[in-house]
Amino acid sequence: MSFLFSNTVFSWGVLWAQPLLVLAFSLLVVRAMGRHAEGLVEVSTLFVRLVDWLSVAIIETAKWLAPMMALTVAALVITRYVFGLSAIKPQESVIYMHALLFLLAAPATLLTNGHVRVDIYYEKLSEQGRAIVDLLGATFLLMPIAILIFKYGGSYAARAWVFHEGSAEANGLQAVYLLKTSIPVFAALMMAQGSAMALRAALCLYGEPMPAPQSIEEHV
Amino acid sequence: MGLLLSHLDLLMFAAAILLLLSGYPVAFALAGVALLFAGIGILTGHFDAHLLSAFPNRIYGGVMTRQVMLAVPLFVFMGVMLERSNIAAELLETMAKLFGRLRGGLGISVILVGALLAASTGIVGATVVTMGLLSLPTMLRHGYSPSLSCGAIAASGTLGQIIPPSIVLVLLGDVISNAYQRAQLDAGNFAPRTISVGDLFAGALLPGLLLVVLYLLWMITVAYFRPEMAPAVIKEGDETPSMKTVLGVLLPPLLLIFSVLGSILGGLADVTEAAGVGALGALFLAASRLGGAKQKSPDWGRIWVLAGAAAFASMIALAMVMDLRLGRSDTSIAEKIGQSVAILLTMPALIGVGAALWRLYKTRVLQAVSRSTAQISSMVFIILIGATLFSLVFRGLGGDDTVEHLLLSGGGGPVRAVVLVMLVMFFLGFFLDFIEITFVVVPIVGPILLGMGVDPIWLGVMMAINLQTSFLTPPFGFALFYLRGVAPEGITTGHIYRGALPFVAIQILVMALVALFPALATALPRMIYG
Repeated sequence: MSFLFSNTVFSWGVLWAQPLLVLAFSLLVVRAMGRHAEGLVEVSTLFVRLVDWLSVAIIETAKWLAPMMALTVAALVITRYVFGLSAIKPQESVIYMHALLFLLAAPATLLTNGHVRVDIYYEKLSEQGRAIVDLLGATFLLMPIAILIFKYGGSYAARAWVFHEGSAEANGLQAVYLLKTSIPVFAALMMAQGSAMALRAALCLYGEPMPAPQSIEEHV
Repeated sequence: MGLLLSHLDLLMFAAAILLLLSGYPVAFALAGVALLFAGIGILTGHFDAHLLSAFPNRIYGGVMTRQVMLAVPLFVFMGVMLERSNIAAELLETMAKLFGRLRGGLGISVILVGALLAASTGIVGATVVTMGLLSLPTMLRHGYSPSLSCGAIAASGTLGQIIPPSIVLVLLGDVISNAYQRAQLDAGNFAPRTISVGDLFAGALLPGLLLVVLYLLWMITVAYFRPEMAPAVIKEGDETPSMKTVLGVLLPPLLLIFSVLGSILGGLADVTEAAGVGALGALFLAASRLGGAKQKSPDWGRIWVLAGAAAFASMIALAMVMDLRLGRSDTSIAEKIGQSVAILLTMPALIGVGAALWRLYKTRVLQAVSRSTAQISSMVFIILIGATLFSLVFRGLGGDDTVEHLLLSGGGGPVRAVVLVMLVMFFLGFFLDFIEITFVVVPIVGPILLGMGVDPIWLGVMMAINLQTSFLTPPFGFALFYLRGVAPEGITTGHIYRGALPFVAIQILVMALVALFPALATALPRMIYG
């Protein structure tokens, strides 16, 4: 396992060329050769569905952090302002909720196209044109970034695990190492959803398009 | 080749713009380009690879645990809740009835509602789309000129960015505050003065209100000289709404927004606390509005929600008049009674929260609002992560020296530098949203400009108005594209462009006024915070 976090060309390559991206490019090669491969399409569709399901399941759980955060902050205001009481643990818990909320919602946001695009030209592209942008972008922009965050974030979190890093405050939450672990977890989820994006684009170019849902509601 | 390699920073900027135009999501395009150029830099010895290993720590310290940023999901929650519970639509309808007898009255309502609402979400697209869907068909049906309607909607949809409490002002305020610290540290001042998001809110208030007033004046002028462009929508003899209905619809959201803003400006609460209370207020407001007119009576759920909101308000009001802090030895009898009352009030308050949550859960509003909040915050902060890597690599390649050189060379001092930055931001505004520009450009140019003695609050306000103007300016303005997307048939791009121009002129006028009289932006924060 540990070689995945080492900084060698080999480990970068292994993380980059994982099954999903290989699948995406196999589809394109098959297409280019003018052949058909129903099995490949089936496996790809299955993979994409699996990743989509995971991302949606995660955001459907993580979304509750939003009202929890609002209620916690409001409760803290009342206890501090009205009763003059303050506690560090609930204060720090708000930071945890905030960080987990946006990190865990990121893959599903990628799925439903919620991350802003500059769509001056993108909007005018054909379906194939958009698929090419998504395929190249996922492969050469998103994946390398997710791998970078996964590797460096992984060793960053590992250092925090060594001595179970906790809050700088004596009676704060002693779980900083867990919070830091959410960085490589986020990166791994983005790698999965990013490859699913590439796979989707490849399926579209292959001629078996599998449109992404426009909203989570549509998926649920 | 050597020349190219020594300008990797500028090449990276150019490559980023090209890749952004491809349409791949901004956050990953920015970060991906940065990583690519870091790689080239490492291979050619222009970039120190160790800088990259600082990236996770930047994500942790600069994004995940950045204190002020906690306000963002809370304000988003508040804004989405107000939007999903039809409060915007009701506001517009009631105002239109109120001002309907006047020529231009409907236009006035649109501008006022835009200014109020936008206060919360602050994402250009979202507000313009909402306003466009809500009010454009109504305005056209009542015989408003298409171009005037489009201009008013696009302008009031972007107005929300500059009127506090808006999310983009939170982000800009935090970034400027960091830049200000950096500028002072660079100048060898190790006990730097700080500015807060509250300062920027206070600074943006007067220029924002000035914009609203000028928009209204323009609407009134058109209605006066060209009545056929903005007719009265209610004819003589139609009934006007009763004072009770008007107050019932207008007062709660107004109260909510004023109390959020007031508690920040009054120094009672920091931005995050105010945002949390605002989110709770929006929760109560939305829960009490559910069901609309055809409510069963008595609706106990609704009564509990209202009781809960009242209990919260009374607790805070009580704490304003007397000291209720627990655990003191010198508590007077009156204060002891007050404490007991406040403790008793927590019961109805909690039941009210429970009732509100249950009502919103049952109608699936809570689920939808939470989901949107999660996705919008994710969109904002993943861009911040991408922009963080971009600035990290840009600096590592010597980009800040290059920018400093560009801004300082050629004489002209701060004026030339500010004008240059404003022009660049204006053009970036044609294809990047407020958030991206704030995160990418301000950390790079901010410390340089502020190091030249430019006032941080004035700079923030100027940047905000400038970007807002850019979003409105034909042919590339963001807001115009979004409006185009939701405009009904019969509306041409020409209508939208022609309608936007007078408002662009107003924007430029206000920018000039703030430039000539910086006190417009700086006086209020100075008065409040000293």
